[in-house]
Amino acid sequence: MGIVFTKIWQRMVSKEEMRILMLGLDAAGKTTVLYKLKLGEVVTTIPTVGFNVESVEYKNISFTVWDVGGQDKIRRLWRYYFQGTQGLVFVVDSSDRDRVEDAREELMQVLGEDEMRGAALLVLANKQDLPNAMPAAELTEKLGLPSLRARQWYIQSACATSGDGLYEGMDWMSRVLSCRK
Amino acid sequence: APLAAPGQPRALAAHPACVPAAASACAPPAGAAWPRAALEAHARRPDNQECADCGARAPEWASVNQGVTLCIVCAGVHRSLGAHVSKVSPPRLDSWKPDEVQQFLSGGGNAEVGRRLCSRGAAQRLAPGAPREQTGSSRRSMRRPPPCRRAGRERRLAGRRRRAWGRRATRAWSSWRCGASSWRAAG
Repeated sequence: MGIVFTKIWQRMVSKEEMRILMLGLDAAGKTTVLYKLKLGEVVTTIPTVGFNVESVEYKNISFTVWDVGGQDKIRRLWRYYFQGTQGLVFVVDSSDRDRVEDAREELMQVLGEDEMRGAALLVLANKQDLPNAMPAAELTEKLGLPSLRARQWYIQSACATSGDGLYEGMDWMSRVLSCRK
Repeated sequence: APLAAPGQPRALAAHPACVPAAASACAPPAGAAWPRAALEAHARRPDNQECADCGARAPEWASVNQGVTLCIVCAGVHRSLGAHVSKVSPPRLDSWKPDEVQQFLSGGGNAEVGRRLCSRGAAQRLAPGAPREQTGSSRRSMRRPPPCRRAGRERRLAGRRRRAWGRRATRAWSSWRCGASSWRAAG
């Protein structure tokens, strides 16, 4: 009986902490995703020059989510956020076909870094509500995800403004990261 | 337009609609890539020194395909419309490709774009020189904790007045319940 209570108590009190880094090209929807997770509502965002950081609690895991600006010249600063990152959320604007190639290059560059070797990769194929949005399967090909070796990855189609897909993505992330413990 | 005398051709060139577009100040130099100077000269023009939407001074953002300069708040609004409507990019933080520079400059600047939109029936407040509404930023709402968290904090404050073990249990219970309900409601 005591053990049961202890387990319930620990389940209520103890929290694992995970460091999540959210990257992607500018206007992919990173800040909208972050605040949809944090507040459950769509906020009016302005372009991020710098970063936003929030702790998001989900399934007894406390995710510290770092959302870093995606402008061309700010991308050079991403690597300062890599250290200690357990999960990478890469947000892609599925409707922006012109810049998928840019997104692939940036993603591959990030994944090639030594500090990101162990990080699980979640790709959010965002803005699925927009016309002409690429489905997740097409994005998988265009981002070159099948060629990744020794990397746990998952792609989830999402719409940050309605919240569709965000929790499925976080589910995967929490499952993968708690299995590693 | 005044009627031409019979037997004489009408003076077409006098009509404003007949002024060739190439005469405008921002026509590209033939066969040359856009120099950085052209972009800077474009930015120095008085109409481009105000946000095209709200009139804020010294806009640092721009919509490449709409050809206007924007403040950071209005840039956020443009981004929320999607890249197929407005391609927002800050000239200082992004490196523009030559064709993007050309697309941006060919818009003709804030005044020209405003005039064109008004002639197509857009809101009159976009007209050059019209008084602008100041855009209110809702940034504050991002910092405000959600209702469930505010309620949780009140419960915690109430709990502080209770005995030590009771206080601890209340905090754990309220934060756990608050977290769970907010996730469910959002999903």
